[in-house]
Amino acid sequence: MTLPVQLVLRALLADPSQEMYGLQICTEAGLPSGTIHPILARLEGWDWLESRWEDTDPTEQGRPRRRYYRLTRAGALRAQHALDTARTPLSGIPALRPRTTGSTP
Amino acid sequence: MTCGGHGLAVGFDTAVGIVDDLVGALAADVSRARNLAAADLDLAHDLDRALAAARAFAAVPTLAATALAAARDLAHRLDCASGQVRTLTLDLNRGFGGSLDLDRHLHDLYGLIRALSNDLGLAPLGAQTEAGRPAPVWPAARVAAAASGLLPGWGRPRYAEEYQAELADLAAAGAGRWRQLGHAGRLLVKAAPLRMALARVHRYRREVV
Repeated sequence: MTLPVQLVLRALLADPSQEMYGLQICTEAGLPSGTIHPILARLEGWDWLESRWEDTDPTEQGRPRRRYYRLTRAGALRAQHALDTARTPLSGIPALRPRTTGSTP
Repeated sequence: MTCGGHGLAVGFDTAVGIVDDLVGALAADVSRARNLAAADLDLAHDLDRALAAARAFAAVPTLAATALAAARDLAHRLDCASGQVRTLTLDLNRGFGGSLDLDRHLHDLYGLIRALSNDLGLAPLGAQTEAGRPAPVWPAARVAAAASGLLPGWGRPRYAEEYQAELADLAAAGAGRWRQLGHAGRLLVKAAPLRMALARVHRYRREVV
């Protein structure tokens, strides 16, 4: 499992019940934009993730709808197991630990 | 006794009387002189006091004159300032009228730009959305649209909207145009890996189904 995938999983596992949108995951994982979308696509393809459109009116909000992601129940278990058994755990690389503050609203 | 030097012969008693008179006159003169001196001293003292008073008084008129001059200068400056305020007020009124015209023209121009942007599907630079949020800069929006255009057709609309939402969030968070452009550029660079991931997921799902 690559380090970016671990960072994304850790960000999502911080609160598995909370939905997060792409930019928020980028910020929480400390990854540059664009990096997370292939990862999210793969995780969603494996049914570790589920996503939905924000339930809001874009005209009223003045912006397009966000796509919200959340780990499935099975996905959360698999993700936790994958992180626990990762050959290069994030805990061994302090510089790559995900950021815990500065999330974009 | 006879005083013959002047051919005048007087008796001793007469001379004593004359001397006595002269002494008396001299004493009177001395006394008068003493009085005059005392008067002079008094006068000098009075003059000193008067001079001190005059100096004291002189200080007041001097100050008063300075204050008066300052007051006159101040009044003059106030007059000038008042005139300038009047001129400035007139200028401001003219400027306010001009700014109203400018505001009206800018409003018309903004409407034209917004209509043009809507026609082109772009958001103008530094514009705001209807909800008052700052809109993403249009070059970033274009790059993000190009990035979604590289994806498979079935995933294109989803990622196009998702990318635009991310740019909108960035713009709302105060990100400048270069940060937005950097974000969109990275989306474009990562379009190929995302295309491969989507194709793999698509194949995987077809195989599972």
